[in-house]
Amino acid sequence: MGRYIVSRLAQLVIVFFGVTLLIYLAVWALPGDPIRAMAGDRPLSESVINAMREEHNLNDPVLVQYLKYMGDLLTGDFGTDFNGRSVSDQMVQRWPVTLRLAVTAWLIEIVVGIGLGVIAALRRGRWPDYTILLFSIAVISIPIFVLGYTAQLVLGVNAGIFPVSGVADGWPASYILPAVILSAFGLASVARLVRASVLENLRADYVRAAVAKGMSRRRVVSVHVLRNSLIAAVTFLGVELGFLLGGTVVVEGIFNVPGVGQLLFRSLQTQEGAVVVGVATALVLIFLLANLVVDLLYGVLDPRIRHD
Amino acid sequence: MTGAFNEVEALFSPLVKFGDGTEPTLLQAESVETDDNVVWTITIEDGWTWHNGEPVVAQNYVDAWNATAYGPNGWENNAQLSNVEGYDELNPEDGEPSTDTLSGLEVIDDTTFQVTLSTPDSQFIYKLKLPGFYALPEVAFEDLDAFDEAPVGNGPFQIDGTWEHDVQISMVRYEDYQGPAANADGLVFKIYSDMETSYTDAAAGEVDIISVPQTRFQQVEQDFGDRFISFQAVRLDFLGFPLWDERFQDERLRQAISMAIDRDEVNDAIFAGVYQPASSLHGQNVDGGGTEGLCGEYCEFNPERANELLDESGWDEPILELWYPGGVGYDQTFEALANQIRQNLDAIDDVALETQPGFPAFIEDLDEQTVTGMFRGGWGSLYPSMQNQLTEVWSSMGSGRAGAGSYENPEVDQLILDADGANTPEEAAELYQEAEALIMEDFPAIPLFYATYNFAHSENVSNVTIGFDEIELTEVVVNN
Repeated sequence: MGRYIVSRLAQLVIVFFGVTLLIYLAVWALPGDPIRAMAGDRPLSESVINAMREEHNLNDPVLVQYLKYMGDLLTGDFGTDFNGRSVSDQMVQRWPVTLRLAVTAWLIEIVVGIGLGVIAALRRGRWPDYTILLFSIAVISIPIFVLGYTAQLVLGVNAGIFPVSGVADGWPASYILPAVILSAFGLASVARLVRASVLENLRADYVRAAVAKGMSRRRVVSVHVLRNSLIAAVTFLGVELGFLLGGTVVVEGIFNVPGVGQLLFRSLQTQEGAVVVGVATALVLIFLLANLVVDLLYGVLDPRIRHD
Repeated sequence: MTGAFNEVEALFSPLVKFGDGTEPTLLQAESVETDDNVVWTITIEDGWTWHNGEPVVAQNYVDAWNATAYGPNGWENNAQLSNVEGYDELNPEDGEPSTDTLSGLEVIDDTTFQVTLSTPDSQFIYKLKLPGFYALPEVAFEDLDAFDEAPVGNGPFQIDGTWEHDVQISMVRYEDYQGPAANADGLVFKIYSDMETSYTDAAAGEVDIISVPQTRFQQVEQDFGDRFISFQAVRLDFLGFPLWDERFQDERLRQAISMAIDRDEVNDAIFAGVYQPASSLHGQNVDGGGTEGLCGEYCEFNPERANELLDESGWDEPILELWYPGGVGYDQTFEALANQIRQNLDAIDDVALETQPGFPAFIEDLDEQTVTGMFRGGWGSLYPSMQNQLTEVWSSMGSGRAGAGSYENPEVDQLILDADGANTPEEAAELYQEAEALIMEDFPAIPLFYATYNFAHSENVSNVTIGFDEIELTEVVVNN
């Protein structure tokens, strides 16, 4: 088990270098000069452009730029954006916001998603099952920005239940509506997934055996069926956390939540290489760590799975 | 807000301002004088102080201008000072500058300084409103990073705490302000990454004044009624041509395309009639009253004449290209323009939309002259003098000429230089108009729209005026 974790972590290091290089090259390959573009129609003077290119190592060949960037990174210096703001400062400000949003959404997915899935399975073929089916199909097929703007208009502007935008009211008030919207797609998927595997397990031999032993239905469902049905959901939910963190761009835009999604989107548009690489690399690492945790959780849920 | 002008305006006061008029009026300056348009003597009004209590002195201006003009600092407003004597020494083509002060600046006494320009400039007083011509307090130079987070200004409002990045900037009224005092006790600039969201927030009454995004022009009258305010800025949207490409040499081709565009229809369909169809390079809100109509019949919609002109021009390709940066809000407009041209010019089978991946790529294509068709052009002047657009876009010394197909006409250059050296504002305006008339004869580009600043406000505030400095912040009244 210990060796397994160490080797997985060692893989992380390799992936880290590979990913940063790839992202760096991708940003570098975007057409157009980011410094020139800063000014739009009204060009900057040559001396300013030169000074800024020099400051951000843009005059070096791309590999030298990358090595300089990595050198700074290893000493904990994430560099600055073209406006001179430290990238690490921006990440320190924005990561907690996105984490709060994504984890809130994730918890909603877990609680509501699994709950709905179990209810649908146990009431199979009756109205709760059909209602949940209808609901999940609707949520999966409506684009997230439509859901977002609609919820914002109906619940925020018209009804005034939730703040329209921003995070001024703190957690949870400001985060609930964006988190619900963010979780909608995954929530419906979790519900479908859990319903299917609960139904499958309800028909399994060990459940029949447990029922035959005279065990109460409540205990059969909560201990035997649920635990075995969760393996599929855990895989999904583990990867989902990564998606949620990286997928906040649209929701953060709609609700003006100052998280990393916004930052990443804006930085890509303005070709802020240092910011994009910093944020994207952190996302990749989180994704990999989440996967590792999922793999370890398998062993807990199903003792037959071992990591030797 | 899209830019940072209002924030700067709240914290700092320039020497002159415009409001919603086109004449510069003195704000922090007591006088701005010249005899020859070359040597300018600027006197600051007594009694102005920085938010930390120190007096505003002439040296503050000289220090700030020197720092901005010093190339290696890499300050974005650097180019605005390019006509001050000594600028070239601070921005050598190679290597480090040998000095760090502009030779054209001289402090006379505590409140007076003298500026010597490299070439005569009758419009210099207009430029004093540009952000590169503001003063900075001594404390700014002690720790620029700290100053960035919590600037000490000399404007009607002072910062309350520090700039909360990506969230907001809070300010309170500065009680020792020497200009017209603000009506409001304070103000908060809320920062949005998506203008649509700010619009929704304003509709819900969460924010009081917003800049209206173009996507909401169609509904803003209905949502805000007379609390929607549109102000015609000195901004021209046009279609440029690759004038270096011999296929586009014949002006009749450019005129034909211009006459094939129904500007009113595009204006109504895309901008809800908020813009104004252009019939010259400058709308009414500019010194000398603008040049509307200078374009003559060529800016009027006339498909019949357009087809005649196209035939005469000898253009023989069935497809016209239209280049613009994609994904930054122009798509709808350019699709509409392409449709107009395709429908109204019989010999044109199709208008190919050459959407470029974002602004940086588009600008580079223009700089490197790799554009092979007509393209999106636009220029917003930061001060209401025709000088800015004419010099920067249509003269051979302009920094933005690549964005207009690198047009060049020595006679135009000369008229602009004459206007720069004119003795009276009237004479200058007349000469600029003559220069513009010449440009319109050459017809290097198609004027499309005079664009506007568009703001809306909630019922919580009144007396909202929009002018060249965007919102007149000191005048806004908070209703009780």
